[in-house]
Amino acid sequence: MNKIDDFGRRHPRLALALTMAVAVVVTLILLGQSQAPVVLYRAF
Amino acid sequence: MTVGSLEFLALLLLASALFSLVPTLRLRRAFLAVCSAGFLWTLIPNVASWIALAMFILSGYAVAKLLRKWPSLALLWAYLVILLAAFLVLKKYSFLGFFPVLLSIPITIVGLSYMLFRQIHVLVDSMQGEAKHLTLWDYCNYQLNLFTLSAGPIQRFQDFQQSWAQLTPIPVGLYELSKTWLRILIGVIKIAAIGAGFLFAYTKSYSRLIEIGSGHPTLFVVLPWFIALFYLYPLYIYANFSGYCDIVIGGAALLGISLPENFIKPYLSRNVIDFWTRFHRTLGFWIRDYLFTPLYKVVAEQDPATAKSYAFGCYFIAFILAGVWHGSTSNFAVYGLIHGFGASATKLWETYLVRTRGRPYLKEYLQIRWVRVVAIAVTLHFYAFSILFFPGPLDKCLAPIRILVRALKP
Amino acid sequence: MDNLCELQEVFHEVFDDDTIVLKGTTTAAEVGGWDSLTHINLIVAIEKRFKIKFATAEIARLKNDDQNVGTLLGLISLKLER
Repeated sequence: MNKIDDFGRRHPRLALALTMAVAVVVTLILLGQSQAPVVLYRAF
Repeated sequence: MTVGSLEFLALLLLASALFSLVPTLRLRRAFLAVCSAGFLWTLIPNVASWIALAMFILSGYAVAKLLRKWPSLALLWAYLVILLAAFLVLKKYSFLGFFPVLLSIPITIVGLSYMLFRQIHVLVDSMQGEAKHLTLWDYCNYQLNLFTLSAGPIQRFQDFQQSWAQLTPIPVGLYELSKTWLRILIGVIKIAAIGAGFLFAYTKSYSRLIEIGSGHPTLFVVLPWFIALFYLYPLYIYANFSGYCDIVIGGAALLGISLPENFIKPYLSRNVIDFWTRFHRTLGFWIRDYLFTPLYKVVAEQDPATAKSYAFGCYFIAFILAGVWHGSTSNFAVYGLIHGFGASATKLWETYLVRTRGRPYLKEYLQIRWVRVVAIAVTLHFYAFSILFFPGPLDKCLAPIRILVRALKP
Repeated sequence: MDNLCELQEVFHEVFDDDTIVLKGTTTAAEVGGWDSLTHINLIVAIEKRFKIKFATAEIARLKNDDQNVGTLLGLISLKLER
């Protein structure tokens, strides 16, 4: 984990690019769903 | 609006960008309050619910202030009785079926269980002088903070105050900001894809098992479906709830609030007591500090010499109440009872080892690798068994077990 | 008798071990048998011996990893002054 952190700190723009790529994936997942995700523990 | 929805993420992005430009603490507090109010607006369905929420929060604040001025156990207990009665009615606990009118009250308040625990903690701490500088503004923002409203983590008021005192975005620099957003996004993947996948598979396995069970299936036919739903539900729970926590912990950090972690490798716990320091740990700590400890302390004050023998009773009471807190139907009490057994068994085993082999051996025993592996496997399967009582009313939970037991009979 | 000595006596009683020697830096991990139940027994014994009362939040904090006998003594002294 520390090695990943060190790498990320040395290459912050790469980290940002990765985050944006994941954001695109998440957007596609959420758009592809018919309903919003349900948080189970919200029932309590 | 749901935590983790596209709207929520888009608004969080906008809010965090604007928040970083707000120049003063006072304005940042107002900004966060407006965000929390807006989130709450989407969740409270009618005027009656708003009134009930206001009464719940305001009465808690008023009594906390009174207790600070006049510390009185009698006042605390009197208010707690009323508060808990109101809670049972508002959450529509199933045993209230004897009074159907109570179950038809049109009030819904999301996150009421969490508000209850936050309220009790502030009441007790206020009475004992541990909740200092309590103002209505701070208390409302603490209780209604959008990041802890739905499903925790159960943050302590003093920790909220520490963040509230500065309220500056926690991730500093491009990498930390990216890492925070990555955490939020992975949280969404956990809920919307991974958890949803496990839930789908669990639902299919459950339906198939019930369908098969209506006949006279053999163990060979029943077992694979039972095993599937046995493992799938704990996987779903973890993905869903830890995913939610990733989103809110990350989101809160963007708006200057540091929230406690709620999951630390929970399925690597070596026993039930360890489990509750790793899974939904803010609940575990609350139960320990505000339920178990005061209860056991009363016992220990009466008779210190034999107090430890009564600890098991305290475990049962604490865990049954924790189970009941989770939901309004009887299956949750069973869930709590099972964990009461688990915690007692853990303590009994430890006591047995110390008594027969001595305390230095216990220290060695806890380091043995194969023992740890076995303990983790047993605890995981124990938890999976207990969570069979989570998905719904008791009948629904017992159905797969009944089918398996019938199939086991020759 | 100073507070540290008196506290040490309490530890001897609660842990049933006269060999325990307390220092300001002693932590729960270093005292055999200091688990969550014994922690509460210890709190009860300290309250009785020093005639003080711990708040619920204080009892919880004392169990944290960053706490030691020194912080416990500090809290006891503060309460005795009040």
